[in-house]
Amino acid sequence: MIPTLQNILYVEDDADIRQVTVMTLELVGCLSVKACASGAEAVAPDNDFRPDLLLLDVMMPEMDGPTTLAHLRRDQRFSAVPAMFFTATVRPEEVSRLQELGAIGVIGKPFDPQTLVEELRRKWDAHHGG
Amino acid sequence: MAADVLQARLREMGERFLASLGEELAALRALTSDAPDAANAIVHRIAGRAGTFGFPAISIQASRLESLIIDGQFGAPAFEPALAELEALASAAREAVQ
Repeated sequence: MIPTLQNILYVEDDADIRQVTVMTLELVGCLSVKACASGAEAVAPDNDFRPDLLLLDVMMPEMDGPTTLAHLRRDQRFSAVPAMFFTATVRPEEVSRLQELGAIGVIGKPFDPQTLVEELRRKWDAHHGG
Repeated sequence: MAADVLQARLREMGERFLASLGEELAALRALTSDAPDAANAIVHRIAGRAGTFGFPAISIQASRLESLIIDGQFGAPAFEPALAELEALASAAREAVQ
């Protein structure tokens, strides 16, 4: 049985893209989203959100997506939570690199807000054998 | 209904993006060739937002500029026509929504 995808911890430094993504996930996907503007915010001790999925932008200043994931993996709160990345570089070698870091999905940027939820759920279901 | 609300918000944000694009491009023009990281941050931001808000041509051209910068071409002769093309696309997009 495929586990329910309901709560997403989302990390994106661009405020406008963060806003669009949150709107899309909440309005279209009826998902609950905790949006963080940086990796540091995501790993902060006062982050008490319990996500089903980590959704991370790759290219961010100071702490990029892969580094953010490494920090989250060292934290008991997030160590086993599946992760997906957003990246503007969807070349096969980049996708492989992110998958080797443990990503269950890689979503290309810019993404289409109208189809984002469908793509996200498809990758979630595929990871869980759906 | 949710899709209609999302569409309306995307349209508003797209208009704001276009309105601010001139300033972003002016900031890019003002950078000297020893600031490729700052230039890359600007074009990366433009590429992401343009694609998300429905301006694929602007997004693609900004991505081309990003590739040029990554290849060390910021400030080189190849960069200027590519930037001019991006500026032209931005102008055309602004005129189209007015």
